[in-house]
Amino acid sequence: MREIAKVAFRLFLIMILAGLCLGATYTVTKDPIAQQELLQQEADRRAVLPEAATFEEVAIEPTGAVTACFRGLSESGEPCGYALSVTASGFGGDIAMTVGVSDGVVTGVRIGTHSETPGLGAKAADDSFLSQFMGKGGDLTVNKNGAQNDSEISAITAATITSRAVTSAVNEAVALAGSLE
Amino acid sequence: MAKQDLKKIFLNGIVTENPTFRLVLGMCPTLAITTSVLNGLGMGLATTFVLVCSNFVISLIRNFVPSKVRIPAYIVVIATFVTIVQLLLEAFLPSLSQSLGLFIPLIVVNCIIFARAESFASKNPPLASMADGLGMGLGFTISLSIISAVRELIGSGTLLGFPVLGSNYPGVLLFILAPGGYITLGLVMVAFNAVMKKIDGRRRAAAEGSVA
Repeated sequence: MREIAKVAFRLFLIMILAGLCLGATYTVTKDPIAQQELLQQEADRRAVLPEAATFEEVAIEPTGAVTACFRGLSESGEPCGYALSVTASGFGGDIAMTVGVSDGVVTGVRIGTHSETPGLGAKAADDSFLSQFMGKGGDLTVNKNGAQNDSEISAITAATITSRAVTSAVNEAVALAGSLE
Repeated sequence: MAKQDLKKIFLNGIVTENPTFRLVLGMCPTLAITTSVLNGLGMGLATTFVLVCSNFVISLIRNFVPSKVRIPAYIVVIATFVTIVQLLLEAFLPSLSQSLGLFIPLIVVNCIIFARAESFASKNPPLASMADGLGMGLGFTISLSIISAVRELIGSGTLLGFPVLGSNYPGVLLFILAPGGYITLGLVMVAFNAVMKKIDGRRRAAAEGSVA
């Protein structure tokens, strides 16, 4: 009995110490992490809608893949499109994306955190795939044999699920931005 | 602890008991992340950091931890360090955290760290344990870099993201996928052990020669 109490107590002490260390680190890093995330989101919005100087959040119904919507304002204060945060369900989990839409066409797509297969689906974050969306709009579809016309997107080799997920998320963003205009 | 012993412990992890090629530990991350050199290098260095820290702490508490509950105690120490590394990277080095993000939680289940805690740090003083952690970690990093260099070169024709084999190189998909990982791992392991055997044989011959 005594032996068990001693063992349990020592393990308890180790756990408490580990917990305290974790708590301390969490407290110290909480604000910087939140700030980094905000900065990253702001930078993503700027990247997908380069015309905009400032952004204001637009209240939307939280339905579908779009989680947040920002209206871009040019330097003279004119609205110049939308930057939308979209969550796509990819092959390995959720893909956080930012999509810029102006006049019904895509002005840029950025991929944030994702858990797609490295070397395959993870290539979706590369410019060579995302630049295909630029200037396109309407209902885009994925073609495994390469894009044949303006409403098609070439799939990433061996990552059709990821390609489709990203494309359908872009479609949703374009549709939502269209309904706001 | 004499300087020479520390050096020997350090080199032990890189060559004689190389975790990937000789101990054959940590196969899960080895196969999963060696698709590009950058991933291999990053995973190796993050593992090295956790290995050195956890070996140090486990060595410090080695006489305090009752042997009956040593496994939960070690896992708590290792998981704590991994979480701390993850939080610190996210807060202060966001770009590195973005490229490594996926792999950091994988370090917890890397059996190299646990194996070194069990077989070395729990029996040796802190300084030697840190030397062991550093050697094992760098040995792991080097192994991952070699395997990922082969896979990246054959699979996508690039090294560290730079096109080496020209932009027209079609790439061999097999080497990016898991089967390519197994094939490369096996071949590199054979090469490593063949070279080691030769060096061993030569050393032994030299030793015999000097006796005679």
